[in-house]
Amino acid sequence: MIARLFNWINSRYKIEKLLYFSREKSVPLHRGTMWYYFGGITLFLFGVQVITGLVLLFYYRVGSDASFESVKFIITQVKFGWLLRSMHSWSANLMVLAAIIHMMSVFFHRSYRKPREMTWVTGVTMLFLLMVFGFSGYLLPWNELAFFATKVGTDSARAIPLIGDFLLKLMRGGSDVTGATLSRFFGLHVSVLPPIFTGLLALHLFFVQVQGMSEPLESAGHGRKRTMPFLPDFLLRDLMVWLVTFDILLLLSVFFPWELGVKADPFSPAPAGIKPEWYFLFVFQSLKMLPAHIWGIEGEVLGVMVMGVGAGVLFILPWLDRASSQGLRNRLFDVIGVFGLLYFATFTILGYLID
Amino acid sequence: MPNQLRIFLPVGVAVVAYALGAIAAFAAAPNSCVDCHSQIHEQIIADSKEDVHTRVGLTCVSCHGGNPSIADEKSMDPKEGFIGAPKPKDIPQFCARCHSDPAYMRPYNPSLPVDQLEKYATSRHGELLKKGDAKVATCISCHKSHGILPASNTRSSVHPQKVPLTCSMCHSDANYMAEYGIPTNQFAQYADSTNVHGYALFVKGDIGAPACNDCHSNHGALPPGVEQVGQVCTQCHALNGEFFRTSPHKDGFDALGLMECAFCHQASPDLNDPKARIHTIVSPKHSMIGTKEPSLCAKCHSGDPGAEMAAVVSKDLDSLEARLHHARELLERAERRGLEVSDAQWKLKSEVLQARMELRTSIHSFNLKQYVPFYERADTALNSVVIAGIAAADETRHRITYYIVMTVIIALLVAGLGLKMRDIERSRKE
Repeated sequence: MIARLFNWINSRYKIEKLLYFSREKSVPLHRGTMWYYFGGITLFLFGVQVITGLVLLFYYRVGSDASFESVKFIITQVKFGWLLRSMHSWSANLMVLAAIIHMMSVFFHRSYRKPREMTWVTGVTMLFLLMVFGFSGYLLPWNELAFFATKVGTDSARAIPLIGDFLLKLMRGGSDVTGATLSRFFGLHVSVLPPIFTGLLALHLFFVQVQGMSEPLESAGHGRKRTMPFLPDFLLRDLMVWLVTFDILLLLSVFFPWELGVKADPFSPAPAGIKPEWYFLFVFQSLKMLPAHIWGIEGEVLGVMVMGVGAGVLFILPWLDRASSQGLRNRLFDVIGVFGLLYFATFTILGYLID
Repeated sequence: MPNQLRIFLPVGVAVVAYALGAIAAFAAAPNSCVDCHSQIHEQIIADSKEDVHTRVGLTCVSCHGGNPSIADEKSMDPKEGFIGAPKPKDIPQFCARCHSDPAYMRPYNPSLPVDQLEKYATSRHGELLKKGDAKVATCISCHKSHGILPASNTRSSVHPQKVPLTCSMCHSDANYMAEYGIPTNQFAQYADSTNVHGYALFVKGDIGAPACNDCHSNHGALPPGVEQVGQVCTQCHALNGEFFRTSPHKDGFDALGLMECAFCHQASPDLNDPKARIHTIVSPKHSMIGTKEPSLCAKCHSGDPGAEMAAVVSKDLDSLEARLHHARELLERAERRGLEVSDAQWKLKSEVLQARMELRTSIHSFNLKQYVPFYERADTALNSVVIAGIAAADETRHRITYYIVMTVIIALLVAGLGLKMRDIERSRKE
C-alpha cells in the first residue's frame, strides 16, 4: 500500500531524488555535536507556537474591553485552554532561550564563517523577530503587568534619535498605550510577523540543507571525518530531544501555569516592580543604570545608540571575523563572546534583583 | 494716535495712579493694635496671621472695635467703638454678633450654620454658663480665640481627629471636673486600642468615624439619655437599629434601663454597672452570642426561647466562619498553584462577606423567623464559593494526573526510539 502510494507520487514528482538526498545527508560528529540539537529544539518550539497560537486564535478577541475577558475565558472555560495558553507562553520563552543557545554555539564554533554568512544573517534576524513576537504577544492578554511593561518598553523608543517620537506613535497608535496599541500588536503578532518569520525560517533551513552542517574550525579539513547519517540516526535523536522538550514544557505549564493577573486599568498607578520579559531585562537594566548625561549626550539616547550598534555588529559578524574564513581562530572574538554572555547574564540578574 | 488710544490712555494712567496711591496709603496706614500688641502679645499676633477671620479680610477691629489709626491708648477709647476682650460669660454672645447673623455670614461662608448660639444655649455647657459657671466651655475653649482654623484643617483643634483630644483637655482633668461629679475616663476609653471608633479615627485615619461631637453634638453638647443612645448609634448603624426596635429586646432593655446598643457592645458589659465602659465600643465577636459565658446572652437567658435562639445563631455563625476559612484556604491554595479563581474570589469578597454582614445585622431582630432567610442567603453564597474552591482543588489533582500519564507515554516513546536507534546501529555494524 505504502509502496503503491510512493510509486504514485514518485511517478509524478520524482521524490526519489529527495530521498536520495536525505539518505546521503550526514551530521559531523565531534565534541560539540550536542549543540546541533538546539537548532532543532528551536524549530520544534516554533511548531508548538504555531499550533497553540492557532487554537488560541479561535477564542481570542482583541480590544481593551474584550482581550482580558477572552483570555480569562480560554483559561477557565475552554477545555484544556489553560494548558494551551500556558504552553504558548512557556514555549515562547523557551524558544528564545533555545535560539540564544543555538546562536552562541554557532558563534563559538565560528559556523558563521564563509560560506554560511547568510545562514547567520537569517538566524540573527529571526532572533530579533522572536523578540518582537514576544514583545507584541506579551500585551495581548491586556493585564496590568503587560500594560505597564509595554508602556515602559515603548517609551524607550523615545531615546532613538530623530525617529524616536515617530516610532513611539507608530507602535502605540497614538501618544499612549490604548486599545489602538493592542490592535496593532495583535495584527503584528498574528499576521505581519508569522509570514516573514516563516519565510526566513524556510530560507535558513534551505541554506542548512544546501551547505550541510558546519564543522568546528579546528576539525574542518583534517583527515577522515566522523559523521552520522541524518536519516534515521540524527532524526531519531532529534525526536527524542523534542519529546523531552515537550515534557519539560508540560511540566512548566502544569506546575507553573502562566498567570493572567488583573485587567489593565490605564487610570490606575503603575504597580511597583514593573519589568519586561527576561530577554529584554539586560537592555532595560542597562538603560536604567546609565547616568542622565554622558559626554553631553543624554544617557538613555547613548545607551540605545550603543545597543543599536551592537545589534548591527552582530549582523555583520561573518565579515568582521575574516580569520575564521581562513580556518584560523581569532581569540578576540571569543573574548567578546564571553564578555557579551557575562554582560547579558549579569544585567539580567541585576534586573531581577534591583527594583 | 488712534482715537481709541486717545481716550483709553488718560483713563488707564488715572487708574494706575489711583491704585498706586491706594497701595501707598495702605502701606503707610498706622495699625496701633499690631504695633503695641506685637510687643506684649507676640503669640496672639503670630496666631492671627493664619486665622480664618484674617484670611477673609477681618482685622482686630472687626471683633474688638477701636480705632487703630490712632497711635496711642486713645485708640482703645469706647468712644472709638472699642469693646476689648469679652469676659468668659459674654463670649458666646460676642461671637454670635456675626455668627448668628445669616446676612452677615453669607458673603463669607454661605454654608456655615448660624444657629450655634441657640444650640449652645441648650447644651450642658450653655446651661451652666447661664447659671454663672464661668469654668464651662465656650466658643474659644474649643476653637481658640486667635489662630482659629477651619475644621477641615488638620491642625485645627476641631478637626475630626483632634476633637477627642480637645474635649479631653477639660473632661480628662479630674481636678477641673471634680465639682461636676462625672467620670473623667471617656478619652482613655475612647483611645483604647480595642475601641473600634477610636481605632478607626486615630489609627486608620478614617475621619468619618464618630468622635465625641458625633454622639454628643458639638455646639449643643449634652450626654444622650439612656433611651436616646440607640437613636444616636442608628444614625450610622441604621439597619441594626431598625431590627432592634422591633425586637423583643427593645421593651426589655427599656424596662431594665439599659442603653440599647451601647450596653452589649461596650467592652466587658456589666449589669451591675451598665455604663462602666460605654466609651470603649469593641468590635463584635461571635463569642458574644451563645448560651455559656462569656456570651452576653447567657447573662439574662437560660432555658428560654432567647437561649434557644442564641444556641442556633452561635452554631450557625461558628459553622459559617469555619467554612469561610476553608473556602479562603482552598482559593489561596488554588491561586498559589496558578489556577484562575478570580471569579470565586470576587464572589467571596462581595457576595459572601456582604451576606455575612447582613446576617450579623439581622441578629439584632432577636427573632429566628427574621434571621433564618439571612442565614440561608449567606449559606448559599458561601456554598457556591466552597464548591468553586473544591473544583479548583480537583482541577489541580487532575492536572498532575494528566502530567504523570503524559510523562509515562513520553518516557515510553523515548525508550522505544532509543531501542530502535540501537537496532539500526547494531544491524549496520553486522
